[in-house]
Amino acid sequence: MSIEVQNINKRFGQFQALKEINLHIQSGELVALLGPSGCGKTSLLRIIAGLESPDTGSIVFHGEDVSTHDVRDRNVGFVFQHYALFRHMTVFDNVAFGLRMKPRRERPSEKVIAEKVHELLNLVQLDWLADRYPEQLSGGQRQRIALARALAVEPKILLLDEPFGALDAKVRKELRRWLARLHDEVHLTSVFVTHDQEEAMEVADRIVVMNKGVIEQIGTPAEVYEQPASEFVYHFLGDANKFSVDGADPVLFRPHEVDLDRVSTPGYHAGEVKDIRLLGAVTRVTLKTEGQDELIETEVAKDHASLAGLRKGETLYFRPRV
Amino acid sequence: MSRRTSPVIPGFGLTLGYTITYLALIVLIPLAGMLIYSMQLSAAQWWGLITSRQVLFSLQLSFGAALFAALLNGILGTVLAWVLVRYEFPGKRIIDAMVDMPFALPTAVAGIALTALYAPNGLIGSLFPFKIAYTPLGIALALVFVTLPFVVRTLQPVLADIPKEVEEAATCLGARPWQVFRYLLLPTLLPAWITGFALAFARGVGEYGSVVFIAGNIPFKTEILPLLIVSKLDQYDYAGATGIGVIMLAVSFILLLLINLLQRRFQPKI
Repeated sequence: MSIEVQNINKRFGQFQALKEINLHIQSGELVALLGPSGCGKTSLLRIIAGLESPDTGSIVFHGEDVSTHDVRDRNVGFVFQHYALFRHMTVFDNVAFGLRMKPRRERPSEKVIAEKVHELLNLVQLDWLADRYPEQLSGGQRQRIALARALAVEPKILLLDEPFGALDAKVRKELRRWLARLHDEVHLTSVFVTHDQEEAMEVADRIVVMNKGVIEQIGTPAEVYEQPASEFVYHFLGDANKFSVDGADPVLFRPHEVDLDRVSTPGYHAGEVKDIRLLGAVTRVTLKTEGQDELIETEVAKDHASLAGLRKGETLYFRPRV
Repeated sequence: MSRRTSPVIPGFGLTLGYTITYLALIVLIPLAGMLIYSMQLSAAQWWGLITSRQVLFSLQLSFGAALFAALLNGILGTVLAWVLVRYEFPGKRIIDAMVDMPFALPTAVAGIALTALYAPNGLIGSLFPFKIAYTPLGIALALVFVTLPFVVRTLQPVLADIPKEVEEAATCLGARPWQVFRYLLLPTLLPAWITGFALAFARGVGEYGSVVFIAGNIPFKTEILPLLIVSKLDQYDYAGATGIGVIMLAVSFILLLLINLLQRRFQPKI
């Protein structure tokens, strides 16, 4: 089911949270809303869900204007950052909740509900936890249960608000790969909010970069990374160095877009080595150049020739690859 | 390795000792004294006391009125707590502070004020076609007043702790507002509600100051148990007075125990 966001504006008091937002999401797509906190990404997601109403504009699901529809009638699955599981219910009852709340004539029998719940718990690989209470689960498990619960009512659209934001680094990595695989299996139109560009790049088909209530750029991960539409997008999608020679216009380059050499070479600039950090596969060397306060961060493979025996205080020559 | 696992915060022995001493001095010893004093009554006197129509009637009235007041406050207090937690409106702080007023006000003052207002010729009483003051209804009214804060104050923190997302999640899953209340809020609130109810009920049973003024103290009509005790004392019938006290204590204890058991049933099972 496709989603059309048309001319959405939203104000909270004096604060303009969203300005003229237009967005088309295709059926079956997995889209990330990416931006710093306060950029309006969560407000947009909540407006799509119907949890918040826009001041102007409309939301269209598959050609049908749902702007005036109640949350209940939009048939969206919503996953919250802090899971919002029902604490007094077991995992099973949590997942079964949506089915049990249906009006009597639509409500499946308890037997059908049980089958469905176990099917979903198997999908999120947590069937063995059916009788536990949410407080007995880890963060990652809770979020998977929250996802199973949202999927139980067979929503046409899945919305996730910083779904991995409250998890530790390793679990969030596992879980976002798992989410991408799950999306490949069920092909549900999905929108998720994140402030983590790595997460957006790794999971999403397309990324919507937002800042201060407006959309800066919409594109595939490769597009927004390689052809950023603005300096904001460039900076937000990865670390960046700003370097200017003799008052000329500064050049922007990413830490890995650099050549290093131990000896002075034409076209290279000198920099004093301030710090050397091994970050795993790459090593980060921080350089101080003449006439610029901002330090230059460079990253090269850890076995790069220029690093052999390098110490702080030595001079290294670099050339931005732009 | 030491086999004894000591808790992180020291002083278990000290605090437990203090707790028991304190409880003994303030609660247990006076109650035991009452029990011992009532032993002066012979079996026949006990029987006479328990089967006396006046005592039975007052027993019924006291517990009935307290139950009624606690139930009514259970409903009104829930609404009040809900409004104070969920909505923002001008004067909210003042209303919030006013909830505690019945605790601060001397109960006799409350009794006199309520009597003046609800008497047949009073400001509010004259508006009703039936009598309020000097009837069991008046007693219940006084009890509603003095026990108002219990349910409100026990529910407020629990209500405030329910995250908004829980209700939003339920709504996204298709739950109607009454279903959100029935299946999510009610199970979460019930244990605290029962606590508030039990406190209000216990306080209502023992309330004296505000009731004596509005009740009119007509035997077999508006005479509550605490009043019966005071009138026995006035007649220097100390043993009889403590006897009634013991009966009240026994009934209250059984009821509060039942409420506690009920509450345990509704406590989240984790």
